[in-house]
Amino acid sequence: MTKRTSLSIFSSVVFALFLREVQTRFGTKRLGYFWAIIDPLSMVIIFSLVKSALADKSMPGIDYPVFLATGFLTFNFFKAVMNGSMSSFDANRALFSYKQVKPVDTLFSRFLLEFLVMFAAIIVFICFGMYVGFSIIPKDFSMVLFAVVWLGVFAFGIGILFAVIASFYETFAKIISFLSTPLFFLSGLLYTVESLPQTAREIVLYNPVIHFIEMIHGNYFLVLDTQYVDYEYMMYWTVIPLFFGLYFYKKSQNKILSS
Amino acid sequence: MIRLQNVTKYFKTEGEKKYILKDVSFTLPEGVNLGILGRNGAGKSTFLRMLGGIDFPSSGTITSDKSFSWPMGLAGGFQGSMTGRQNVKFVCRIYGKNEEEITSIISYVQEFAEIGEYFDMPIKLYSSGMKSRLSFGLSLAFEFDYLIIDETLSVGDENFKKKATAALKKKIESCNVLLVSHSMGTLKEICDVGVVLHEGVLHYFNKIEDAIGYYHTINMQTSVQKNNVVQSSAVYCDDGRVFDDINAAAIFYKMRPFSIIQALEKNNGSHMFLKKVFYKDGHPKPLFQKWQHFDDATIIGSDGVIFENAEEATSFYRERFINKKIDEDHIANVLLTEEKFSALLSVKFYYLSEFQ
Repeated sequence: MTKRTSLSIFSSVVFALFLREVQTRFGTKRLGYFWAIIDPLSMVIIFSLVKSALADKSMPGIDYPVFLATGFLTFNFFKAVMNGSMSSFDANRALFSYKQVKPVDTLFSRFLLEFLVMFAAIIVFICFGMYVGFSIIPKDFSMVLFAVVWLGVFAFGIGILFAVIASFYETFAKIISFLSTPLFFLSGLLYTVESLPQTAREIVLYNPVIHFIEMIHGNYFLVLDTQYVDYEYMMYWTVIPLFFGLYFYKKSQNKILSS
Repeated sequence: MIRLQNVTKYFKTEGEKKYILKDVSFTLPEGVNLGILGRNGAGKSTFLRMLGGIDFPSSGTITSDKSFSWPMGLAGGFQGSMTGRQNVKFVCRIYGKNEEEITSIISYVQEFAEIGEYFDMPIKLYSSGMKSRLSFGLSLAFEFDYLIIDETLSVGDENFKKKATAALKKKIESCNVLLVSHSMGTLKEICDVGVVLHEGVLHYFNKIEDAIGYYHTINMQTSVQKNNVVQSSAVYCDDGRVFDDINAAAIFYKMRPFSIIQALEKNNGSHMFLKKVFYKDGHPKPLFQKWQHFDDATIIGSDGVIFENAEEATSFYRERFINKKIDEDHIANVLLTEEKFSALLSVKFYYLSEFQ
C-alpha cells in the first residue's frame, strides 16, 4: 500500500464524511434540508406579523423581514455548528474503527455542511426577497461576506472547544443547549443595539454573537452603522476558544478515541 | 514488526483500575501470524485494537511501520441509514481510492457478500449475518500488511464459512494476521505464534500449540482455586433443600460439581440445566437469571456444565478422564450428530442459545 500524505488522508476523510452527512441527513430527518429554509422563514413571517400588529414604526428605511432574515440565517448557522459539534464525536464513534478517521475530521465535515446549507438557504431567501420586491442589495457586500466568514471561524473555534469539553462532561452539552434559548433574544436578531436603553446595551454587548450580527446588519443596511461593534472583543472570542480547543483536542485525541 | 515499549493499559471501573497490560515490552517478529488468547475480560479485543492503532495505551508506546486493517467483520463501522453500496463507497473514499478502483471494489464486495438486492437497501434492514458478510468482503478487497480479526470466522452458514475461510487463506499468502478467537481449531489452522493475556501479563509463545496449552493450564488452575474456596461451606437451593457441601448437592441432583461451582461463581447462583438457584450459607437467596455471556458456540452438557465451545469442553473432560482416551475433536464430532449424545461420557450436549 502506497503511503499517502496526511493532508491527502485528511481531505479524503473529510470529503467522505461530508458526503455521508449529506446522505444521512436527507435520509433520517424527513424534512432534511428544507428545515434550514422553513425554520428561519417561519420566524421571519411570525416576527414581521407581530411587528406590524403592534404598529411598531421603529427602523424606518429598512425592510424588517430582510433585517430578520439576515440575522436568523447566520445565527442558525452558528447555533447548528455549536450544537452539532458537541454531538459529533458520539454520532461518528463507530467510524473511529477506521484508523484514518480522527474525531476532528467529523467537526470539519459538519462545519462544511452547515456552511453550505446556510449558503443555499441564503440563495433561496434572496430569490424569495427579489420576488416579493424587498430591497435586498447590501450596502457593503464584501464586509458582509467578511463578517459571515469570520462568524464561521468563531463558530468553529467554539465548536471544537465545546466538543472536547462535552466529550468529558456529558452535562455540558445540556447546559449549552439550555443557554442557547436566551441567546436567541440576546443576539440582536429582533432589534438593533442602538435601540436599547443604556444599561441593557451594556449587558448584551458582553455576548460575542451580537457583535457579529451587528456587524452584518450594519454593513447590510444603509441606515445602520457598526458603532457598537468591538472588533478587538470579537478577535479575543475567535482566537482564544480556537487555541484552547485545538490544544485540548491535541492532548486528548487518544482519550477521545479510546473512550 | 510491531514493537511495544513499557506499555500499560487499564480501564477505570468504579474508581478501580483494571489492568489489561502492566508495563509490557515485547516485539512481534516480522512475517508471523499471531493468535491472541485469554479468558473473557482479559482484554484481548482491546489489545488487538491497540496493535491496530485504533486504541491507545494508558502509557508507553506501540510502534510499527506496517498498515493494519480495521477489525475485520466489524459491523459497527457501518451507518445504518445508508445502503450497503454507500457504506462500501464511504470506506473506499477514506482510503483515497479513485472512481475506477471504487467500481471494482464494489463489484468484488457485492459478489463476495451474496446478499442480492439487500446491497442497495439500508444496512439497518440487514441481519447480523448479512452485515458480517458485507464487512468480511470489504476487508478482503483492500491491501494491508496485517489483517485484524476479532472472532468473526464463526459467522453465517456452513457454505459461507467455507468460502470465507478459503478466501482468508488465500489472502494470508500476501499478508499477516492478528487474530482473537475462542476456537482453538481456527487458531491452530491460521496462526504460527501466540500470546496469552492473563492478569496484566503478556506471555509469548513461538508456537501456537504452546500458547493453547498454556491457556488451558490457566483455565484449569482458576477453576481449581475456586473449587477449594467454595467447597467448605453449606449450600442452599431455592427448592428448600440444604446440603453439607457442593459435592453433596451435585450427587443429589446428578450434576457435575463443577456445574454448581460455575453457577455460584459466574451466574449469581443460577444453574442453567436444573433451572434452580443455589446460594451459600449466610448469603441471601438470589433470583434466577439466564446465562449472560454466550454466543453461538456456547454449549451446555446434561451434567450441567457450560462451555464456551467444543474445544474447551473436550479439554475439560480429557483432564478429568485420562483413561477414557477422549480424542481431541470428540465433542466437536458429537455436536455434529443428531442426538448430540456422547456415549463415552454419557453426557448429552445442547447449544445454550437453543437451550435457554
